[in-house]
Amino acid sequence: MKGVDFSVREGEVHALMGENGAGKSTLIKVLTGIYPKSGGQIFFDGKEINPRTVQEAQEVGISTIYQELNLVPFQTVYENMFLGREIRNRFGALDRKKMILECEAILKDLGIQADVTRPLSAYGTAVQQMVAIGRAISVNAKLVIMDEPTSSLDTKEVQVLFRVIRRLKEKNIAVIFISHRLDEIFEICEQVTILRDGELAGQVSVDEIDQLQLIACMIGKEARQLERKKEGYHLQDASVLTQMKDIQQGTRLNGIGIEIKKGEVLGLAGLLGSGRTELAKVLFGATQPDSGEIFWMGQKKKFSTPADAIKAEMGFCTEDRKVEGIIPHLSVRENMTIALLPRISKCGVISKKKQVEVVDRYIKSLGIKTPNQNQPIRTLSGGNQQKVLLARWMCMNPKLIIMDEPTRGIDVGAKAEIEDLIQELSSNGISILMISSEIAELERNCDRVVVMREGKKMGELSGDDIRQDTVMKMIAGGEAHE
Amino acid sequence: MNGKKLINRYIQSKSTIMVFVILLVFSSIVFADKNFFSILSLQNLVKKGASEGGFLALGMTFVILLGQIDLSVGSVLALSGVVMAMFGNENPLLGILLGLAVGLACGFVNGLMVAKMKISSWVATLAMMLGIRGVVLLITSQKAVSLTNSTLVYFSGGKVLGISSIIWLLLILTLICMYISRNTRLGMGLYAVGGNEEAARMMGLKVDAIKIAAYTFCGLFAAIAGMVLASKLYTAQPTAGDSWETTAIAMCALGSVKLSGGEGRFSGTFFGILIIAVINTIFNYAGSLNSWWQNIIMGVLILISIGLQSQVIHLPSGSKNRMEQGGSTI
Repeated sequence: MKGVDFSVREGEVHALMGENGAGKSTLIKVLTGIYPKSGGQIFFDGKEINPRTVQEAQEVGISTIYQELNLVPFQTVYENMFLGREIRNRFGALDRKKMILECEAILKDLGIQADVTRPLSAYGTAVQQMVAIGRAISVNAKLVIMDEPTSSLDTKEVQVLFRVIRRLKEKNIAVIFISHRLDEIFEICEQVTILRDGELAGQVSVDEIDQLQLIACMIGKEARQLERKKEGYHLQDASVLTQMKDIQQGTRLNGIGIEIKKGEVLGLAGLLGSGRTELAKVLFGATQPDSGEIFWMGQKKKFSTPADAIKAEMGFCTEDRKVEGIIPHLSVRENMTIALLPRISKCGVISKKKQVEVVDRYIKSLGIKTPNQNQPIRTLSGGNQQKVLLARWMCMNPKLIIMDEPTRGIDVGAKAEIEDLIQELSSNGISILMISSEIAELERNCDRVVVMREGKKMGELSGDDIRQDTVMKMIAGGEAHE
Repeated sequence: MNGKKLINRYIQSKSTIMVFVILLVFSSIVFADKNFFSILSLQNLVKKGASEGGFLALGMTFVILLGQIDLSVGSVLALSGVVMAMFGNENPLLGILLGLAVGLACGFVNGLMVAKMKISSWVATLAMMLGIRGVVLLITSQKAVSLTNSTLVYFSGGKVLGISSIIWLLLILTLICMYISRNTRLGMGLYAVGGNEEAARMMGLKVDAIKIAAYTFCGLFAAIAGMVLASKLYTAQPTAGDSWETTAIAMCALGSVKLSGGEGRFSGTFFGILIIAVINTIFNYAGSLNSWWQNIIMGVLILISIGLQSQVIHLPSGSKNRMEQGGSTI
């Protein structure tokens, strides 16, 4: 972070943008007292402040809502709302009635209907986020920082969040909004500050800039084309690699079937909770369906564990890198080769030589930025972590790689590289099942897209028919029937 | 900033060894007249550390790397010692094999309970600890079983190249464990499951098998500990190893093995064993001190050692990565 000036006015929704490693998080952490600053000043409400802890920042009126919510899932909504500053009656005991009433009032004010006496975990991410925002308001925050609040919300939930943000604006509360989704920036924000490599790259009004300029400003080079990478659909005659039929699993999957052809990039589109990840996990053997059949290369198969699926030459790049992907304390080398170990070890002893060779090859071919193979993976940027995870499966020579949100939370430059990689893999005959919430991403990369809704297949699009509007229409199509 | 970072990194990686060296220097000065710093007393020191919880700590490290715990090691130690003594007086080989077998079996059952039945490791191994202790008291009628077979007794007194066979055993087992942890699939599996169980599962690792293997190793080491102890004392006590699980955990903690799993090395545990051995020896020499002080000092040391490691969180240069990783640091 090098001499960045940054200012937010009262009641303003201010976007903070930049690639991973541009210094967004650092800036926020300095502002909220998590990191000390080595120079410069912070003024808040006209006074200089110098918060050293999150609590101190909160006291002056700065509240942060993190990507991973810092709330207690098993306590009730209202207990969470008042955690650490519970309302007490004159005997010093908790005044639950008053807390419940106030909590309801706060949420109602935000336009949220919820039974506040239920545990927080009973609600989805969106409501949990509202509780966190409500908490911020009730401590009289004047500035609310939201660090990628929309990354785990579906389109409808995002709209609810935006409604709440507008309400905050009416209350003259400023919001710093961090997101990787450009559309959201243009929808909700007024000002945008762009950081690049720890320096200020621009601070402009959103009205004066368009998407392409914004991207150009962020990555500091000519913006990449947002066009489809493929023309038409040429895989009508390709052989079918795998087929899933009438898959049923609880309430999440309702008799859905898909087929993936050799060398095809098949996209799964749908809102959050439409069962895309669940379907992929069934195919990978991570969960078992209640009924339904899976065919793999023409033969009926049952994958009871991921190990079975890996043996059949499948790979799964999971949605949440931190939760299901990386093993933080292990090195790049160990992370990359962990699925490959059975093939490069004899009697349980790993061949270091083969391991080093493989990792070396992929660090070079994927351009993974790491000082050396022994670097703990947690110290790499999101994009480079994702490349390591892709390499983990690529080095197995798989027939199919499932990618669940492969570009989530990584910067624009790395995103483009990963997308190029997807094309390269499929041109080498590797099939890819791609799950993404960004329809534009599916449009750019997929040969065919299956649209899902509530565990059912709504329809499918192929070739040039895959467009934002057609996909959206298909997702929405279900609503009319209800 | 840079110097601070260097010091930090140094403290972080070398804290265990540093504590050990400081203690050693300190005690050799204080007890100079008693010739603390001689080869003989150094040998005794390591031997003491090994036989009083050292082997347990090596086994415990497997389980702690997974982010789990095994409270039953003290009881398993007693059972193996007693079983070896009961059968080994007539047939030493049979005694040793049976001793090892009960340790393996207990560990295996612990592993099954934790991995397959999904019982919390605290509860499962606590039950095992109580149950096995009961079994030991039952089969011995609460009386010690003396070891009369010369072969069994010979082991603990034996020397190779002038160094006690117990020390050799500890060294060899430590090296084997180090090899397993860094060069085998099981080792990688331990770190992977301990670091991120969900990720490990999605990578096709046999998570349950890894857990069972770790507990089985832990049981095996408890059995070795029990038999070494019995051999050293010429007798297998039914109350042997009572509360030693805490000593073993302390050794791991002092050796920078993170109790949350996924981080730590067997070489660290080895130095953790030595640190506790030095403390014990100091108290033996300073005979006038109340032995309760021993526990107090051990508690303080563990706090200091772990405090030094987590110190890194609060300093800007070293802290960034840890914060971003977002996981637990202790």
